[in-house]
Amino acid sequence: MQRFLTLLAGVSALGLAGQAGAAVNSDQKSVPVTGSVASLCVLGLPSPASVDVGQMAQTSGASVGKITTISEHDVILPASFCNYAGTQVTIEGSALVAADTSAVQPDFARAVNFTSTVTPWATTQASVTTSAGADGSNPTATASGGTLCNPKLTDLKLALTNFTAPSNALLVAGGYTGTVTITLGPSAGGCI
Amino acid sequence: MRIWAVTIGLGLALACGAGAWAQTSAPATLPFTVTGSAPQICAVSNPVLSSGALINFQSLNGTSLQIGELADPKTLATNTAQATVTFQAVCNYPHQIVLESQNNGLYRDGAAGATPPTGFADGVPYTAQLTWGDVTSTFFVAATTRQTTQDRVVVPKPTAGDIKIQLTIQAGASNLSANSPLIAGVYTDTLRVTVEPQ
Amino acid sequence: MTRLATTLTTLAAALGLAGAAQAATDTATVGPFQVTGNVPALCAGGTVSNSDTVFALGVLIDTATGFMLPNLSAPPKTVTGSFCNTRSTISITATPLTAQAFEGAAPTGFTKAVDYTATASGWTTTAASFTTDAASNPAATQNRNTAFTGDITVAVSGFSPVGGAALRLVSDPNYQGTVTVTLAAVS
Repeated sequence: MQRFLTLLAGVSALGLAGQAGAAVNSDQKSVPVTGSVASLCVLGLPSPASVDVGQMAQTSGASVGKITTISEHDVILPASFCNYAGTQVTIEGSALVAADTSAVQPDFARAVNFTSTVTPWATTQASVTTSAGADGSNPTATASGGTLCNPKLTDLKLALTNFTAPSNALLVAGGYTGTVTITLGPSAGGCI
Repeated sequence: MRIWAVTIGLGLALACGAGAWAQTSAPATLPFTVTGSAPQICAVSNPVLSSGALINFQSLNGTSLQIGELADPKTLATNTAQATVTFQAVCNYPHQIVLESQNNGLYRDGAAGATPPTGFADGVPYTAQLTWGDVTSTFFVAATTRQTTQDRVVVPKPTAGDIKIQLTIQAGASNLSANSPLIAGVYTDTLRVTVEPQ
Repeated sequence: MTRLATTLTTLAAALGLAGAAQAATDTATVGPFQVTGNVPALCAGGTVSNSDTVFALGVLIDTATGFMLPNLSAPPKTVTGSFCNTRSTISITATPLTAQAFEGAAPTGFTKAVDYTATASGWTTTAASFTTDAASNPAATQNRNTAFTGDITVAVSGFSPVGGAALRLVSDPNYQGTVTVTLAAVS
């Protein structure tokens, strides 16, 4: 040990000793070389970067003024990955709420709820449905999908579906805005 | 990577939103109809004797017009007489007015068909001058033959006001010759005024 | 030997720094991602029960005199299910009740039309009101500052012969006027 330490601390010393004329032919020692790769998740840039579902109310017919059928809108997050096991997708959805903040009249609503689903990741998919009230209260809902016990690299798809109005009420006029936040990270449950 | 995504998303969303909010729809209209009807009606009141220009007529007793003295007591020739009688009336549609003389002149009651002695007259002619709205007509009740006669006048528009009838008996008028003496008796005629559909 | 020590020291230092940065990115987050939509300003008229949109007054005149009856009336009508999803105005207009078959001007002493007042209430605090012989009808349009859905009651009243009560109505089986209620969104 003492000789080993002497070797590290005094590499230059050995060189000096060699110059002084010590009597050994050869020697060999090992130097461990190590590195590590940290746990990492990456989400791709959303494409498209935002979604406008357009006009949301029926303009004629028996249900005029109520929500119309809005088709599914998809957003791709390409080349998303986690390089470790025990991850989950968490989605926080916030309902579309009208910019008009004036008091909501009876039989009207200023919110549109929708469902956000992110696939494919774990067997149990991540999906959350907002449940804002007609007055736009409690717009945000959060949910996580199941745990994935393998690293994975894939294009993730965020699907926006199931657009509904609270109590299927008449919708107040104007622009509406909602949001979706997606998190990819360690799962609380973990893997065996 | 995270920061880029949020910034781009916000910028694009605002651009799309501003354009779409300008839409408005056409006004909503609720139409209603109000309806009613005015049926055809005619109404005639009882006659009123007009004041003024009353010659040899005494009174309007109910609907009976009384002549003062029909014949000159010396010659027994007919005396002149004139009176105007009015009836308040209305017809709210184009119609006709009919003047009907029961006897075609003043004749004695109860002597229908009997021939007077030679030289005597037994009927008195007269004229009924009608004015009703824009319409005028002269009904000459000739007393030539004792029968019912009519004068029918078309009234081409709704009319309201007074039906005015001026009755005139010329001096000496008779159904024989001028100034023939009249046989004694009570001479009458009934003049009916009717407003009715054409 | 000197070169080996320097290389090992540098490698150790490099590994130490890299380890500190990787520990913060086992979680990735995207958002808030914007989702937008819009609802256009919109009004829709509702329905009248039995689809009965006719105020039938019946016989307009006293058949003994030809003058207009003094007590003409018809029950009001209720429109249900109208709405505007933003501020709005309600307007009402009416045309005189006019003899449809009678051609030309009415003769002296007669008229061929009847004036009246039409109102629409329930949408605004003050009812919208229109009188057919008024010089102006400032109350014909009323404003509502909020979105609304509710019943509208439409009524007609105050009938009088055009030209005055001394005029009789010409005969006609079909006197007709129109009342129109309009809802318009204010964008």
